[in-house]
Amino acid sequence: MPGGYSIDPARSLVLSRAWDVLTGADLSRHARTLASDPGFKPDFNQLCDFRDVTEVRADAAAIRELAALNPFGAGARRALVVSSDVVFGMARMYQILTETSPDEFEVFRDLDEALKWLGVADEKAELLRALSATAPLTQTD
Amino acid sequence: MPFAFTIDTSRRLVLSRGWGVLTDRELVAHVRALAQDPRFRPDLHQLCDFVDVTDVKVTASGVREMTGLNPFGAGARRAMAVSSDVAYGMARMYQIMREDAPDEVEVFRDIDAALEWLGVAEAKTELLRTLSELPPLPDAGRGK
Repeated sequence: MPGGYSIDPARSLVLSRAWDVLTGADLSRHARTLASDPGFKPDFNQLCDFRDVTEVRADAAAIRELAALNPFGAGARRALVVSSDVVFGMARMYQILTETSPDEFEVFRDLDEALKWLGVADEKAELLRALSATAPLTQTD
Repeated sequence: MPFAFTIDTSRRLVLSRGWGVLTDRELVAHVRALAQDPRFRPDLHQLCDFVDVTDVKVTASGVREMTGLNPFGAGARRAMAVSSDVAYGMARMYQIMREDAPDEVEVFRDIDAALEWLGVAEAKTELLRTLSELPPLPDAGRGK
């Protein structure tokens, strides 16, 4: 998968990053791996940095699976940051159509706004460093 | 956002057009007016011309209401033509997430491809003229 994640337990924050073309299988793998990670808790917040994602290729089954696999629960705030207009539109409609989910999901075009919404604006430099060091998930993850 | 529609009974085709900023109110008013139109049948096809939509400001409740009111059924092919990237992304995700619905929705960036998918490419000039002449729909009103 062109993307991966790390968990910052001190901040109760999942840092996810992806780039290039994302498929439904990539998104599901990310959700499954995170759900089975012993360091993960459902009420953690998440920063998803999709600024370098150029395209999302997913069908209905993959999107439904992604929504069903979502390991986040009540109390979690999930900020998705995108730069592509098409990906922004897709994410906004996904947000609209999954609004009954217990976690809070918000889509941003601006990273600073996302960090502020997550209450971690002061740690921007450190978080960006961690995001840039994200290792891609492999087939075996 | 101004919204308008008419029904071409000979082609079994609903011609809808929206422009400006797309909001819940007009979308829902459009669906309601269409469902109440005596010329409407659930298996008609639809061409939605959203090429001049500049922004989409819809909410979860608006999309749910619109989906719940959707009067189209099995056999209907509904082509949405959009030009804005954000509108394209939203329409694509809407299409993906309602793939189980009985009507077929397809999203196009190119109106020619939409007309071809609907099997009315040869009537392009006439259909585009009709679309461009549609009067805006009052909030709770009816189409032309």
